[in-house]
Amino acid sequence: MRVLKRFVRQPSALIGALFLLLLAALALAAPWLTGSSPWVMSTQPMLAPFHDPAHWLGSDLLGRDLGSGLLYGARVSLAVGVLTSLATLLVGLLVGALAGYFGGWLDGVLMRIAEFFQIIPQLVLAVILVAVLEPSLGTIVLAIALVAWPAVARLVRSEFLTLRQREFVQAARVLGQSPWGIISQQILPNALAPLLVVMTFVMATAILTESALAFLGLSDPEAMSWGYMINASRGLLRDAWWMSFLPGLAIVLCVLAVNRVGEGLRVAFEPGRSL
Amino acid sequence: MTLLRVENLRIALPAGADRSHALYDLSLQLRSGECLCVVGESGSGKSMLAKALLRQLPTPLTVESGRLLFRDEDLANLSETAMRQLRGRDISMVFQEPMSALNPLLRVGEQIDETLRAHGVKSAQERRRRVVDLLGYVGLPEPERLRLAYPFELSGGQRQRVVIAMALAFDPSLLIADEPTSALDVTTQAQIIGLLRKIQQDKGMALLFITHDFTVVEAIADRVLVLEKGQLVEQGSAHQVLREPQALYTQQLLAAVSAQPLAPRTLVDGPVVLKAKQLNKVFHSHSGWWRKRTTQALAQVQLTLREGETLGIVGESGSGKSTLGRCLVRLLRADSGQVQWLGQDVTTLSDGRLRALRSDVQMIFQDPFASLNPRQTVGRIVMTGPLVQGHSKAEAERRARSLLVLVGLPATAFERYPHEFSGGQRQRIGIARALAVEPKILIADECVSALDALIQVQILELLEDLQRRLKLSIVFITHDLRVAARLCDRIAVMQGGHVVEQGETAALLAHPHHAYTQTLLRGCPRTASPSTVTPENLESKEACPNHG
Amino acid sequence: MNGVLYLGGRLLKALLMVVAVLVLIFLLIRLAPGDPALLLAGEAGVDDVQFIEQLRQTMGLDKPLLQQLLMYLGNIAHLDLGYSYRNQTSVWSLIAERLPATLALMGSAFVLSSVLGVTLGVLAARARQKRHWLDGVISHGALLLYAMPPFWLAMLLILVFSVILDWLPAFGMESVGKDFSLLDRVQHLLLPCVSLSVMFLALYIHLTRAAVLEALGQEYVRTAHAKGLHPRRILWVHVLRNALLPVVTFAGLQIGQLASVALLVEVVYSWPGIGRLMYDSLAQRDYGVLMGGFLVISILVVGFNVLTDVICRFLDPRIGAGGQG
Repeated sequence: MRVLKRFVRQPSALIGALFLLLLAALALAAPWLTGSSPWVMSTQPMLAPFHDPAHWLGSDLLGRDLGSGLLYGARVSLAVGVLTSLATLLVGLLVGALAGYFGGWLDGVLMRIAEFFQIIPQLVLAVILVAVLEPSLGTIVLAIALVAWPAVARLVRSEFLTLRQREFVQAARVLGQSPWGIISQQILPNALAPLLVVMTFVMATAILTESALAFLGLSDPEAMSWGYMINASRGLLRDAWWMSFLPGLAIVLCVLAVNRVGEGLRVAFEPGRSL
Repeated sequence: MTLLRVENLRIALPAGADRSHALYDLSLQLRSGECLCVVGESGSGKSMLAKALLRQLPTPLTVESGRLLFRDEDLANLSETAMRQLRGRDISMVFQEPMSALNPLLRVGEQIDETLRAHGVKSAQERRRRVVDLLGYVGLPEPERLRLAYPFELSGGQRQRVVIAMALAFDPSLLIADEPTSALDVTTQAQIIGLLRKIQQDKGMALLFITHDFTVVEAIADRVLVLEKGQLVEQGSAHQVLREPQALYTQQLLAAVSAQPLAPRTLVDGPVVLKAKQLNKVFHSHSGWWRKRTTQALAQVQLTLREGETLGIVGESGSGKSTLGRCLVRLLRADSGQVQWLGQDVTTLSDGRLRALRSDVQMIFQDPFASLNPRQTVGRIVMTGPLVQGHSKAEAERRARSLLVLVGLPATAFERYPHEFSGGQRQRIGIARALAVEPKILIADECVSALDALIQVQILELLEDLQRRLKLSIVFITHDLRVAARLCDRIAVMQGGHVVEQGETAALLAHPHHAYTQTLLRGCPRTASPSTVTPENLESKEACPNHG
Repeated sequence: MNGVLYLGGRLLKALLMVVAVLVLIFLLIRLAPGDPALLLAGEAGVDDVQFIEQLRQTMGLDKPLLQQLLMYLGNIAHLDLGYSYRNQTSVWSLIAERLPATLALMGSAFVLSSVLGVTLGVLAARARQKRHWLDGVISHGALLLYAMPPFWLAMLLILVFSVILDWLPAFGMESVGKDFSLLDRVQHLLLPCVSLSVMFLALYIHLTRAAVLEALGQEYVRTAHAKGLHPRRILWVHVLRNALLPVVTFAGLQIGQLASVALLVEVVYSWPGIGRLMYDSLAQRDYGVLMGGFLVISILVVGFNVLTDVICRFLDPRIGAGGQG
C-alpha cells in the first residue's frame, strides 16, 4: 500500500514502530525470558545494574529483579494502551457518528456531554473511579476510556460533518448508494487517517495515565506496573536512583515511540502529496 | 512619464515545479495615469509579478535576473526600510479576497488608521478625519459609524471598498489590483470597476490590473498584456489586443470567452423529460440559541426540459440555482411543489423507492477536487454507479472503460487515482461517472466554473458532443450568462429564488426583458474576433448603456 | 447588550456543569459496590455504629433516589460536604485549609507554563518560517518534555537539585521551625512549580507554534505587509492577536488537567494542598474527603473555564454575535 510505503520512509516513525513491536514481543515472551513472576524476591536487595549477569538491571528494595519488572510492566502499559484505545474508539465512533450524521438536538446534547468530560479534572475522576470500583485492569481501562472518549468523538463528528457535505458523497447519493454503502465506502476510508492519528494520541495519554494511577497505588495488584515501580522506590532516591529512573525512562520511550508513529501516520496519509 | 519599467524579469521556481520559471524574460512599461491589464489563466505567473513589485515573493522564489524600476529607481537596490516606506504609500495593492485581506479581529477604521500611522501621520485627530474621508470617497455610507465596524459585519462589496480605501490612504502613484473583483457578484463587480476608474481619472494614478476576466479588461484597460505560462505572448493597446489579436494564444482565449453557440441551435419539441412545478424551499439557519434566520431559496419555480434540449439556469450566488439543481436531482426535498422525472412524480418518494429510478437522472458537480473520492481509483469511482444499480462487476467494468475513452481520457486512467489528474480531466471523470448508469437527464451544477477559459471550452464541447451522441437532455446551471449562451438552447434567469425570465437563448440575449437579465448581460464581454461578430452581439451592445 | 447575554449564557452553562459534577459524584457513591454509608465513613469510621446511623439519616438512604439527590444538593448548597471521621472535622474545613497552597502551586505553574510556552512557541514558529534549526530544537524538546511522567520528572528534579546539588528543598511548603520568610516560601515553591509546568509548557509550545504558523499564512498578514507596516506591529497586532485565540481556549480546557497533575506533584513534594489531602484520604479510604476534593477542584475548573470563555469573547468580536454564524 502507498500509505505503508510513505510511512516507512520516515526514520523516526519507523524507529518508533520497530521499538513498539520489539517491546511487545519481549513483553509477550517475558515468562520465558525472566521467570514466571516479577514479584519473586530472587536475589539480594538493592543490587546495582551491570553487577550481576543474572540480574542485568539490578534489583529493588525487596530483591525483586528490575529487568523482569520492566518486562512485565511493559505488558501492562501496552495492554492498557491498546485496550483503552479500542474502548475509546468504540465509544467515540458511536457518539461522533450519531452526532455528525444526524445533527440537531442530539448533536447538541452529545457535544455538551463530551465537553463536560473534557473540562473536569480527568485524572482525578479516574482516580476516584478506580478507587471506588477496586483497581483491576478492567476498571483502569474503563476509567481512562471514560475521560478520553470526548477527543475521539469530537474528531469523528467533525469528520462526518465535513465529509457528509463533500461532493463525492453527494454524488454517491445521486447514484443511489445506500447509507451503509456511503458510510463504509465513501466516508470511513477518508475519516480513517485523522482517526488513526488521534488514536495514537489516546494511546500515549493512556500509558501516562495508567502510570500515574499506578504511582498513586491504584494499579492492578496482580500486575507489576512501571508506575508502581517508581513509587515503590521513591524513598530510595538518594541511594539507588536507578530504581525509579529506569521505569520512568521506559515510559518516556514508549510515549515517544507512540507519538512518532502517530506523526508518521499523519504524514503518510496525506493524499497525493509528494514528500 | 514612465512610472514603472520591468526589464527581462525572471523569477525562478524551485525544483519539482511544472516549469523552470514563474516569469521568464518579462518586460513591460507603465506610464502615470495609465491602466495596464495583465491577462492570463491560472498558473500564468501574473500574481508573481505583483508580488515581485512589492518584494513580497514567497520564500522559495527569488528574482533570478532582470530589473524592476519604479520612477527610474531599481527596487533591488532599496533597503528593506526604504521598501517599507514605498509600500502602502507610493505603491499600493488590492487583493482578491476581501474577507481574508482584512484582519477579522480589528475594526475597519483601525486597519486604515494603522497605515496612516505607519507612514508618519502623527495626529490622531488628523488620522481619524482622513479615515472618514477615505471611506466616504470610496462610496461607503455613514463613514463615521462604519469605521467602527468589524469586517464580518460588512458585505463583500463593502469590504472590498474598505480595502481600496486602505490602498488609497496616501494617493499612491501606482495601484496594483490582483483579481479584486473575482469574488464579487456581477453588480458589485461593475460598481468596483467604476470606482477604480473614477479614482484613476481623479488622481492620475497608474493602475496595474491583474485578471483572467475579459469583461473587466474591456471595462477598464488602456493597454493589455497577455501571459502564458510565465511568458509574454502579446502586448498592446486594449483595442488592438481585443479586436485584432495577433498571437494564437490570445485568439484562442478570446474565442473561448465569446458568447457564440458551440453548435447551431435547433428547435426542440420532443417530449418533456423533466418538470418542476411550483417548487418552494425554505432554509432555516440558527445562530446562537434563539436567533433564527429564514431564507426563501426557491419560490414558485416552474420549469420544463424537453428531450435532447439544454436548459440553462443562470443566477448569481444566493439566487437559488444550486438549490434548484439539488431539488431536481432529489438530493434535497422541496417543501412544496412537484418534481417529475420522465412523467413520474418523485417529489415525495422515499430514498428506497427512488433508488431504482436514479439511473435516469444524474449530476455533475462543480469542484473537480472535491467531487471524486480521493481514496478510490478512477475505475472504481466510475464503476460505483452500475454496481449500486445492481449490474455485475464485469458489466460495470466494461462500461467504465468505454466511458473513460468516450470522455477523452487515456485508457490507463482506470487504475490511477484522482490526484494524478488535472482539474479538466477530473471533470471528465465526473462526467464518465454520471454517464455510467446511462441516464437520460444530466444536471450540470456549475461544472465548468472552476476551470480556466480554454479548458472550459473543451468540457463544453465534450458535453455538446455527448448530448448529440447519447441523446441526453441537460440542465446547465451556471452564474455566467455567457457560458450558458454557448451551450444552451433555452435559458432561465434566477434571482432571489424566483425565475425572473425564461426563453430561447438568442431571443433572451437580444431582447432581455427583466432588468436583472440586462444587468447580467452587461457582465458579458462584448469582445469577439471579427469573424464572430453577429447581429446578436451588436444588438446587445446597444441594449446596455456603455460602461462608466 | 450582546456581551451581557453571552456572560449570562456562560454562567448558566457553568452552573449546569457544576450540577452535573454533583450528580456524577452522587452516582459514583451509589454505584460503588457495598454500602454507601460505609464508603463515606471510611476505614476509620466503620466501627462507630452511631456515626454510620447518622450518615444513613443525612444521606437518606432509605428514601427514593431522587429525594436523596435533592437532599445531597441541598447539603452542598449549605457548604456541607460531609464529615471526615478520621480527621474529626468537616470535609469543607479540611479542604479550605489546603486550598491556598494548591492555588499558589497551580497559579504559579500556570503563569510559568503559559508565558514561557507562548514565547517559545512564537520563537519556534518564526524559526520555522526562516528554516532555522531553532525550531527543531524547541519542537523536539517540547515532545520530550511531554513524554515524561510528571511525577517521575519531579523525582528527577529532586534528585538533581536537592539531593546532589543541595540548592533547593524537596519537602513541603516551608522550612520547619523557622519564621515566615518569603524567600523560604519561594524556594520551596520552585521545584514543585517547575515540575507541574513542564508538561503544560510542552503543550503551550506546540499549540502556539501551530497557531502562529497558521496566522502567518493568512491573507491579512500579507496585506499588512503590503501596506508597509513595521514588522513588529505585524507580529504583535496581526499575528499574535489572532493566534492567541486558540491558545486561550486551550488554556480554559486544560485547567482540569493542571489540577490533576498538581495532585501528583503535591504527592511527590508533600506539598500541603488539596491533592496531597486527597492522596492521604485515598490511602485511608476516606472517600468523603476524596469526593469533596474532587467537587471543589471541579468548581474551580469550571469557573476558570467561564473566565477564559469571556476573555475569548472579548478578543474575538465574532463569538456570540451571530455575525459569522
